[in-house]
Amino acid sequence: MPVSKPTPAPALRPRSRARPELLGVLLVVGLLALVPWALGPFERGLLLRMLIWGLFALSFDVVFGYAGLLSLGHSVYFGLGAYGAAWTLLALHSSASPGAGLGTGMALGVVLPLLAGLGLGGLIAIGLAPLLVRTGRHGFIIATAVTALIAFTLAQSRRDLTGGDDGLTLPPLPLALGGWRVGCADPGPAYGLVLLLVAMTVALYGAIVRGPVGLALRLVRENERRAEALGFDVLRVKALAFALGGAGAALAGALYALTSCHVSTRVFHWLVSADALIWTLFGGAGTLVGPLLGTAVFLALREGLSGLWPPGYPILVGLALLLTVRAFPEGLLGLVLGLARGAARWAWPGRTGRTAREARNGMSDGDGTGEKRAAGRGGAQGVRRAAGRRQRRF
Amino acid sequence: MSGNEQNALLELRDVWAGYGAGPVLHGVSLTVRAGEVVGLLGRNGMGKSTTLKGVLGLARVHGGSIRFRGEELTRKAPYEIPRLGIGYVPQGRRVFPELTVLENLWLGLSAGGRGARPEQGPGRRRLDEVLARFPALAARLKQKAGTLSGGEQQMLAIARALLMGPRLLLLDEPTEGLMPQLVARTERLLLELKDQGLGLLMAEQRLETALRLCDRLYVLEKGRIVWAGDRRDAHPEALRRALGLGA
Repeated sequence: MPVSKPTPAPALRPRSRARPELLGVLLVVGLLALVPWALGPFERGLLLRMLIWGLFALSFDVVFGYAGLLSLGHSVYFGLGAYGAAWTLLALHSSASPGAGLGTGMALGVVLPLLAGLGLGGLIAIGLAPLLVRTGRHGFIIATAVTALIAFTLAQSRRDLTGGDDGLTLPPLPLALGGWRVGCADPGPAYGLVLLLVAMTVALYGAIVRGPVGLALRLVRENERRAEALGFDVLRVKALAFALGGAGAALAGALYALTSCHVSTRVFHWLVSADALIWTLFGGAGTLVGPLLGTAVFLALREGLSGLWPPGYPILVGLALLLTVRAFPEGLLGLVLGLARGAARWAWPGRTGRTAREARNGMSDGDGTGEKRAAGRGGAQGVRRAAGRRQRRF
Repeated sequence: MSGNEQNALLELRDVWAGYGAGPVLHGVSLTVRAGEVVGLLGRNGMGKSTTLKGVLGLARVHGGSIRFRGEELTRKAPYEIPRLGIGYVPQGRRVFPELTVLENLWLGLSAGGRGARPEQGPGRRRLDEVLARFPALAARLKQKAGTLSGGEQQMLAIARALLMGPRLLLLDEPTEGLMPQLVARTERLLLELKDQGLGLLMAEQRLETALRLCDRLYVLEKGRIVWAGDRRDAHPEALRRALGLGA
């Protein structure tokens, strides 16, 4: 068949949904950049922790929400990032002369430790990813939990390197702005650096999950067999997600070590991964903003409630979590979007938006690769076949 | 059918395949050559789809050999098979309703596994070619696939399969549930593809459709081929009986 008239070149990139969100992101980053100067050191520290743990939760969500893999070993890469940075900082600190200038100080005290942490955690994530994703959906949960257990046990047994439960205490960051020396009690200038790095990482993740790779991730999460029928190497896509998430966790860990000036073996524990899971579900899994929002609200809630009723605050936090997830399965982000959509409908009737779940499940088409409608096939065979494939979501 | 092996695109020999415990296919052998439409006839549950999925590596093949252009497929990973040049149009037009038409097509392009970003190079050219064939899709690139009509979704599923640049197209009941004029359009398209030298293997329940489209036919009954031959030799009554349709 002759090609009579070439179609006008279509925009080949997957449709961008970023516009209004981009504005929102810029607004939030701007606010986060300005607000701390009006706050006290304690609130600044809280914001800092929200950013770092938010980044950790987001990196977890790339693996969990986007690729559909529940990794209980995510803490391993956070811990490696933290210790990679800590060891580098300690090694360099003793060799740096006290009178070094700001540039040298930055390089030795910040840039190299960050790179080392990112490199250590990221490389080990890349190395383990192809092995771990091979274990299958349920095996993966166990295998990653085992990696966390091994990392934690190893770290505990090498007290000489890790400091064990007591951990390592790090010298303060060599950042000085206008005579404002930075101590760990007040991470003022460090806050700016963390905000910058976290914003950059979030932007990078955003570009990735909205682009071709994100489409592949969603396809694999929704239906592996269909992805294969379209020629996608499912294991490679999963390994990529795992490595991307691990690298983000390593960066978060390195930032954590540098700004808290202390790191202990606790960071390897699988419960740290479970924290990320809770924050992600709380905020909204499978979204970029959800984990950040969930972490921030959770940490604020914990601070607020622990002041209110010190002995029993975990119960209150747990109740708040439970109620939120029960009432809003899409998490806080779903709640916020729902409210915004309600307001928009009220203001401009006739226009509708998408819920977070709709956006997330964009790939879902019922079941998938030629799964016949069981009715059409008739007989127990078809039903059994359909049932056997239904377990693709936790 | 000896002597055809040289130009056979796809060749199944004594294939046993299934999903869980027992096999669904009990020794299926068939060939598809370039430039012909081969029909796989049978009622529900006789193994038509399983045959297609066996080729794609989506059903487990217990025994026998499946060769595509001389290459053994049974030992390949499922994702490698489409990349060799086998397109698949699943039953019931499985497009992704929440994605746009363009995103759906993009999945076909990117999955070819050729590494290049689809924006440039050969992928782009192929997209333009395929879209020239489907003007209705070209006009709706930004629309969600779920808002397309059934016929357009079928076109989209076929277009997506074509974007991989296949030599062989596996179609699972491609005209099922379409309006008559859309059935005619789909059939015209499939014949065009055949004339361009593609091999087509289609699972079909309806004898009339199969007799209109297919050069050769295989009739499946409980996972076995009970009738095979040229369309010209096909005696409708005998086929009807083989299919268990009255007589």
